[in-house]
Amino acid sequence: MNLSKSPRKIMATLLFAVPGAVAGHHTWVVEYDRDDVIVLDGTVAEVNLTSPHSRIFIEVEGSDGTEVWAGETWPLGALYRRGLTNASLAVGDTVRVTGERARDGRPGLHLRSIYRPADEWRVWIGLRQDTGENTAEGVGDGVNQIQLEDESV
Amino acid sequence: MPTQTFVNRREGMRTQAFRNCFVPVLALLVVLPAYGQEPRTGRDQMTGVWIRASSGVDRPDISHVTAAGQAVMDAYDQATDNILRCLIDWGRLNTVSGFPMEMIVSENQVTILYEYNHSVRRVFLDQTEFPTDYPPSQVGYSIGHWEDDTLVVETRNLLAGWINMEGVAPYSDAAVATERFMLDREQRMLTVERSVEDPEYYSGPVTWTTEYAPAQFPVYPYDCTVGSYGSGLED
Repeated sequence: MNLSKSPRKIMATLLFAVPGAVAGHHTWVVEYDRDDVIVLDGTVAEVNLTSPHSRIFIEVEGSDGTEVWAGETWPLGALYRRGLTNASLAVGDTVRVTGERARDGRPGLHLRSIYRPADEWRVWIGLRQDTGENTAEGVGDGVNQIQLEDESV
Repeated sequence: MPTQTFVNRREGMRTQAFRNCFVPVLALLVVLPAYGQEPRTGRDQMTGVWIRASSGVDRPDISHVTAAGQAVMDAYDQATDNILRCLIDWGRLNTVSGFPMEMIVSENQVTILYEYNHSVRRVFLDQTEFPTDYPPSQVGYSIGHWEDDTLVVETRNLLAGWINMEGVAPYSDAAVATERFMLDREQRMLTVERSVEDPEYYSGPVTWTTEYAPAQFPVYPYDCTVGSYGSGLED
């Protein structure tokens, strides 16, 4: 399994055209460890953009075979405003995702970012970095400008 | 008489030309001024899609919570939170950020369409008394009136709910919510002052103010799906 555990640090500078936030439901902090950020390389197995929470499933090859990770994220509208739409990803796409690992040990993460090397498409869908609030920034007008400085994304 | 016939025909052509040209021009002169005109009042300009102008979540001061209110908070169990059943209460509709709301102002009603949970509120402007036989609901029953260009809304008939997530700031089904929608026409900013009075849970009103800006995107679908949360909570 190509899995990099924290403290692989993601340096992100977020510039938002219009401030805004989607308050997460209480599940984020309860279920996912913000101090345990992981990086996964895999292929998209399923995309389910819905509300209140969307999921993107990633197949990850490991030494023990293939494991499907469930990446949980924001409701559909919030994702569309950030530039992640139903047309963004296709099953079989090779991607690198980052996110906060599920506390209960299941193969799950709260997605922070998705990067598709084939065309260098990327999107940031993580929590706020400044206040640590249980909210997500960057839902203004969809022109979410991202500078991800970490080499992994 | 050929000459007279010719004259008559020419007059007829002139009349027809007059009709063909003048009437449309006259119609344009009547209609055109309506285009590009500013709506007459701030009331008209409240119609539109609004999004919170500042980031974060409204977390009003609840230091004056009563023992009964504190007991409700202490007993909160997220596994039984209505939000997991796609039921969003009035309080959290108006503190959770990021989702736009569309306001439609008409003569006798203001309709507020929230993207969040696709919740709908109807504010009746032509009523002054709350009905006694209307069922309580997550969004309650709202009656409003205009004070100049400020929309003042009172909401009753609320089911008990929460102002914030994670079991913070409950209100009972006896709560009365008041909102004041104020539009800055020049800045195109909508300020909403909200207040909840619930003597059972608070010794005074719980208040917060939210500013909204015009949204530059559409209201997206929110087909709430029970069980779409992380695995831990629906177990």
